[in-house]
Amino acid sequence: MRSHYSKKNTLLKATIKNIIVAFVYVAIFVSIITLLFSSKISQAISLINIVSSNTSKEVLSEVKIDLEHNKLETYPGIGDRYGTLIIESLGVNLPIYYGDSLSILRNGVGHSSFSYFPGEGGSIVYMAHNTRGFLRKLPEIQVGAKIQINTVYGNYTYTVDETKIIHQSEEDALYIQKDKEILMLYTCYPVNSIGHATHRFVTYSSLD
Amino acid sequence: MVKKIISYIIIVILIVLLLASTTITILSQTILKEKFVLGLLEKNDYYAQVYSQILEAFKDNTIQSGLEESILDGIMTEEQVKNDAKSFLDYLYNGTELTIDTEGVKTRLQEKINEVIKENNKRVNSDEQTAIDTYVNTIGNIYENGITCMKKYVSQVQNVIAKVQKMLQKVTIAVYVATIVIIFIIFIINKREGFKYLAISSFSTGGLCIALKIVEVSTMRVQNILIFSKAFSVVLINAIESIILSFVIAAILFCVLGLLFSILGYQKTGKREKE
Repeated sequence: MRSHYSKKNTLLKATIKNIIVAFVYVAIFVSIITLLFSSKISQAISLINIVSSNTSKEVLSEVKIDLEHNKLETYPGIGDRYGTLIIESLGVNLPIYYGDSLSILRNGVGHSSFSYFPGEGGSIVYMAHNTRGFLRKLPEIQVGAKIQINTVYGNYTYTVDETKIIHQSEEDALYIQKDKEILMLYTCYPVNSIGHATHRFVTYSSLD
Repeated sequence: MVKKIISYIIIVILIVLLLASTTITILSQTILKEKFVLGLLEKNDYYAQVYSQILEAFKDNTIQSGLEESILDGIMTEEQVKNDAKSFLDYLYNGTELTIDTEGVKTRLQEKINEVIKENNKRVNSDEQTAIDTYVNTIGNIYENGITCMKKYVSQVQNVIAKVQKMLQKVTIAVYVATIVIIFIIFIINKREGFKYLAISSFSTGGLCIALKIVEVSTMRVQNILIFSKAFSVVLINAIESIILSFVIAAILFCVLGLLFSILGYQKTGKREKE
């Protein structure tokens, strides 16, 4: 019985010794791999985490403007609704979303992420479809008409100075300036065309 | 002393070979096997998701075209999406001819547009015809991108898979043969402690296999991966999880083997002591 117990004990000790030695080998392997390939491993992990969507969402009520520096303290996320566009003369009342993907534009006015926000003192680019319920009537807007932008952090009124019809390739016509608050609002033109319109109807409005 | 050092080096080589053979086996039975990928697509209802995604993208583009959404009815079916997705996988894994019914989608759409123009007695000028052609081509591109996810890199990916499959066949045989040879060498160098060294190698390989799971849990947000499309991402996440699970199972098997070799090694030592 004693001999059987001591046999088991010896076997257990031998196995534990093997596991400890194996652990040392694993530690050595991991150290060598980390030493030789740490930057590549970090890059691979970062890449995976970059393509992982962040599940935390910003609360829109936290979007605030720093009036002293004319800059938002926090920004809405892509796809977040943060305001309303109102053109009383055309009966337009549309939600404004940050971002300008086609899926965003199905819901309302898109905001080009390359442009500034209302109140920041720079150029703002908004766009929406030319369909009924959106900006179908935009080409009827008159110079002097008011465009109201109500955001979660403040309300801003713009007056239309000019309208233009441009080709879709004329990127210079939507020039972003950092020290001049111009609201550029555009839609596809002509509004009753079939297929992909090649022109845009653009309004240029300055802050009141 | 020299014998011991050589034994340690051989253990290291054996660990590397065991890890390599495990990795090759897992990869060739998962991500490099068309049947495995097809199974994942079925399990995750991939075809229905892709169909919905493509349809939504069609609608996104149609809203600005001046046409009603009903123009999209019947230009694409879920069965067609399934067949084209399978054809695409076949192309990737077996190099067969890639046949995606993009032209069929465009033709059906163009026919419907022509009907609308005729019904409304509309005359289409050259600018409008260009606009219509652009719209139809865009719809066609959306369909093709929806099926392939990465239209731009399709042929490059197919080349890489073909090269890896070819290389893997040669490497697999080499690794298995080398492993057997190394095991023989272990017993030639040190007959007494051969099983002990096998036990250490098995435990070490098991430990390294589980290390991958530990790295995944502690540093990577695999569950939240979002690339190309939601449907593709779900399949990719499932594939990565299957691979990591396979490594965990391999780790358990190696630990059991390690235990077995420890017992065999102890019994051999015990017999010798008796003698």
